[in-house]
Amino acid sequence: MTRLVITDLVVEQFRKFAGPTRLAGLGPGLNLLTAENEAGKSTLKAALDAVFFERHRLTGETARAMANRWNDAPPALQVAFRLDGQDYRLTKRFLRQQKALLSRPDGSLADGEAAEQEMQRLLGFEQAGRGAVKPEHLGIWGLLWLSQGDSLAAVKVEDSAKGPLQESLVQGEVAAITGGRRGQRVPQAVRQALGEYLTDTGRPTGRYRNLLREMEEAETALAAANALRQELAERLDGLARTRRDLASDENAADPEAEKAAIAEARAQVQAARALAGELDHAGTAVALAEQQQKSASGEAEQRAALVQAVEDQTGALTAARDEAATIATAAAEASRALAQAEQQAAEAADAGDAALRQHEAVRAAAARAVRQVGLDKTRAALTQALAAARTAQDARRAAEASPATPEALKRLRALAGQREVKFAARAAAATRLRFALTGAEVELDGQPVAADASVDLLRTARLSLGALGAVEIRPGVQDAAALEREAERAEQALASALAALDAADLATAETLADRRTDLLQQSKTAGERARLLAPDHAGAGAIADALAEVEADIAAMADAGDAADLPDEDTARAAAIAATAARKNAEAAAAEARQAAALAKQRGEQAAKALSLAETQQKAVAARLAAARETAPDATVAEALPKAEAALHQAQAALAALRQRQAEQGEAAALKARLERLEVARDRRQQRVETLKLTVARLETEIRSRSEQGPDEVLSDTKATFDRLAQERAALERRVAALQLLERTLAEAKSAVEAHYLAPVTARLRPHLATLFGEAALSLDSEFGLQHLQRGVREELVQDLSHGTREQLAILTRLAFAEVLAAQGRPVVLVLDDVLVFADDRRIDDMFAALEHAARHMQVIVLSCRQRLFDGLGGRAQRRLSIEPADPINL
Amino acid sequence: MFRFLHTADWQIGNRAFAFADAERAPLLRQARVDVLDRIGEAAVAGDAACVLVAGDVFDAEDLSNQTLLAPLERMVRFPQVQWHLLPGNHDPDRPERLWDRLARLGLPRNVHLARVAEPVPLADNAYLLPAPLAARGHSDDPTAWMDAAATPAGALRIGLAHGSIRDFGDSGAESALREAIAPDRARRAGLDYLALGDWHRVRRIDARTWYSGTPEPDAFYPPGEADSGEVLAVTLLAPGAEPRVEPVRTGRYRWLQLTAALHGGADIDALVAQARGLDPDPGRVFLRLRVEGALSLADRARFSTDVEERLAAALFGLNLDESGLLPEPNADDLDAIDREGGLVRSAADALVRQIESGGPDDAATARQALALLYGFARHEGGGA
Repeated sequence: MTRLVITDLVVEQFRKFAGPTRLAGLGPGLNLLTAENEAGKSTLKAALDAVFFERHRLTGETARAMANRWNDAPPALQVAFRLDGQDYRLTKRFLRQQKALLSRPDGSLADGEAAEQEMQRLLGFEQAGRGAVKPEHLGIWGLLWLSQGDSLAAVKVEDSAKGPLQESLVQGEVAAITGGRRGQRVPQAVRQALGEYLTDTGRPTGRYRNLLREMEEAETALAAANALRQELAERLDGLARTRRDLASDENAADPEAEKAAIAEARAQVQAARALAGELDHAGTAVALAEQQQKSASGEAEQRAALVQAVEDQTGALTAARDEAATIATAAAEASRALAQAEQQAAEAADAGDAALRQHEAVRAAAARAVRQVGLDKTRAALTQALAAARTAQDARRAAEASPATPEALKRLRALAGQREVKFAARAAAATRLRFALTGAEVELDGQPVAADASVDLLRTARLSLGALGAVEIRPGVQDAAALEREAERAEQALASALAALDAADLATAETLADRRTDLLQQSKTAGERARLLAPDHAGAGAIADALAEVEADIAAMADAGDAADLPDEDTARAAAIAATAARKNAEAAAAEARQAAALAKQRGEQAAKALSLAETQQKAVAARLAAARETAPDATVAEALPKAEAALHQAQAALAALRQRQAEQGEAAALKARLERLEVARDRRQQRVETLKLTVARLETEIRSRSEQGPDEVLSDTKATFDRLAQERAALERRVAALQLLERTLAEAKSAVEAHYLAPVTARLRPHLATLFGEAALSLDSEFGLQHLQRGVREELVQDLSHGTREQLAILTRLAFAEVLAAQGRPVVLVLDDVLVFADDRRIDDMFAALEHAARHMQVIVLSCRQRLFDGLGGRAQRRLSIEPADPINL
Repeated sequence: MFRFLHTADWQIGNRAFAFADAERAPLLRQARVDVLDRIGEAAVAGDAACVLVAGDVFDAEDLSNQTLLAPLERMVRFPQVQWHLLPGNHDPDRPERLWDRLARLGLPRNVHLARVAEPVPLADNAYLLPAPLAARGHSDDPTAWMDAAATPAGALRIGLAHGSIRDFGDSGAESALREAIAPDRARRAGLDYLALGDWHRVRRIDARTWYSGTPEPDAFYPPGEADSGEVLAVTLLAPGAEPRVEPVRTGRYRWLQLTAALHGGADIDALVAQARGLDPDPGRVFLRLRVEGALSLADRARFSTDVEERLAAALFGLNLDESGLLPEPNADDLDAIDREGGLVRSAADALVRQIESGGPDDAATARQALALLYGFARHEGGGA
């Protein structure tokens, strides 16, 4: 239901309109004023704003701007409207003679401020302060009455509009929305308060950050203070310990007793050193005595040995002389035996030679006899071989003399063949006459013919048949003469060849050839036999020569000596062997005798040498003994040894006595070690005491320097600081937690409310969007700002869309707002001045449809310069407005 | 007649005032040195020959030279007064430690260290029998030697010691480990007076045995209980005569503690009135305040203004423990945050639900969040 309808507007002396001017034709539904630029459309929109919302007492620039430029008269405006079926008329005059008059449906009037307040109450907007009305005062009207260009700007819902809008939007939750301003500012304050402690990304900042840093510093300082205290405590402990150690060292030993002990030890060491010297001396004396004793003993032994040597050498000399004499005798004997043996050997050699010669003669006779036999055999063989060789020679010669060689025989056979051929050819050409005669005598060419003869005729012949007469027979042969000749020639060739072989016919010739072959075989056989018997000789001549030589040898042998006076061979050989053995024996005996003689000579020479040596040695030994005795007589030598032995015993006894003393006193080394131990112990303690004293001094200094830093105070200070910071931090973190909780809780509450109060707007918007964009959704933020346009799966930021689309969305959103408000029963009028300038034709159509639809529930006033376009749109419900002169406003 | 001042437990160098903020802690420390001026002045005014300090002159052993020298410089301002300092359990006389250092630093002529347990002449007829401590804890009675200590006949015998009286009410574990002084030591040792330290408030054991307490407070006590911050002016008329003991106020600050249960605006008013009336000069009161109970958010906001801001400004210091004070939002609080159904209100309602259903930690956070929300809403409110 339309609650509010503007039914009339008259302006006078208002900006460009000097004379009274009416916007005529206003009524429910869609009101459309199309007029050219400069026609005054925006002025009329401004007049609507002014008469409804500006206080009549307005002063200042806004008020002055209302005045007509050419005229001094004050601007006056009058509007008539119907609210819930009741008619009102509001008249205002500005600048001078200011006046506001509201004529109520019942005819009563509200004047001046009362009229203003009643209008505010009726339409629900705020009283502007002193100045001109501002968007924040207009409430929903600022949202629904758009001036040129407003629609393109982002939809900006002023707080004052939001409240009423929200109130209207969420039925039954008016109170929720009254928190509007609070709902904005409290979360903002919370965020601001939180911002003092945390950055947007949640990092500590400001005091919180400083606090954390200070705590870190305090912790570091605390650790340092604890360390200082710890150092001090350690040094105090160390000092106490060192002092204890020092006292213990200082009280440990009696310095005097220690000194005496060291002196005594030192004296003992010195005594031990003296004793060691004496021992060295005694040891040397013993060694010397031992040496002297050894020397005396050696001397005595040497003298005795020398005496013995003289005796031994004298004995040896005598023995050598005896030996030399014996050897000389033996040598003479050997020489004699040698001469005898050499004589016997010469005789044996002669006898041996004779025996050998006789044996040689016997052996030569035997060899001759053997050769005789051999020669006889050779002669017989050679004789047989010679006979065979001669036979072979004869046979070969006979064969060689025969012409019936295989070649000759072969030619003969060929000639025989040719003759046969020629005769056959003649016979074939001839006319054959075969006779079978029975007794009758028949002659051919005068020659009788045998009863069964067969004659071949080559030439004309005459057959005489006896009584019967004769028959000339003329054969039909062409060249009978040639055939005859050839047969004749072949006959002659054959006969000639036979003659050469001295054969009557071919068979004879064959026999002759066989005979020649036999001869050749016979020669070969005899030749082989000759070669078998005399293989060393080829040919009969050679064999004959060899036979002649054998014959000569045999003859020579017969001339050689006779062996009749010689012994047999066995006897001769035995005699030769015996003679040779005797000769060898004699020679061996002679050699032996020669060797014995040489040996005897050698021994004689050796004995002479030995004798000479013995003499020399005996002389030398005797001289040495004499010299020794000259130096020390034997008696002196004999006395020296006992003396030396006595001296040695004495020295050994002295040494033993000293060793006994040393064993009683102790070793110098051991005593020295003890002294060193005592001294080291003393030095070490002194050194330790010095070190401990230094340590005490150092620790005292360190303790002093650390004490003076006042570690207890530092620690206590830092601890107090740390505790204080920790308390502050805990409180601060509690506050931050509370703020975060608050922020979160507010955000959750806001989300819940937003979802609730934005829902109606988006619901109203949906069909309008569908008309223009198909399936689409527009998301609004809690400030009613346009966020995203979702078309299908595509989501676009509204600010990125084209001017035209943004303008259309802005108008549609206002339509939706207005519809929601209207549905909630609020008085609503939508005024659009110069909108849809960017829309294309199709969109304009759709937008117009949307406006028409909205105009069913509210008055919609559209002011546009796009006359033709809007004229073309037509439409059932639209009202065409016009600008017309009017009667002056009566006030 | 012999007059002297008995004091103890100066605890100079005590810096652990973590319950005071960083601005006040140095003032509290400085006060512990400044009080020596008032002691000196009291000695001069009371014609006291000497000041006997019964141990814990210093709060710790390892202090800076500056801290050690500061009290000496105050004492030297009163050359006519002889100051006798006794090592206590906080500042025992151990080798290379505080007392060696003091001696090395050089003492003013009127300052004496009572480091040896032997009679020290204070005047012609008066002897000091000190019982210095050489360790932080041992259980032998350090005053035992006094029984046999010889002093000239007819001379006054004044004991000076630090530690708990045996079977004293203060039977904490710490004191049980420490030296225990026989309660009848004065009688047994024939002392005319036994000056004790360790207990930080004035305490009379018997006519001759007293704790002087600390001259500058360092602990909170409920009003009405004997607080600390005094020295004792002692007059010995003659050997054997009962001493005259008079407390003299020396402390600059008064450390007091209160606990209050708050359930509404009236309770807050009463608390503020009581706190302001604790001392004619509230500026010297260091108050430890523990509050319990439950306040509406509106009253909690008032508490913040009236107590946390205004009262705190009136006092030297306010050490507030409000962990026991729970904000209890009521319907008016919630309405003040936002009208029912409003966005902010729905957040507040959510927090109330969390307080009611959450665990203790979550509930505490939610309470604080709600109190904050109340503050923000009131601050940002004033228009829907």
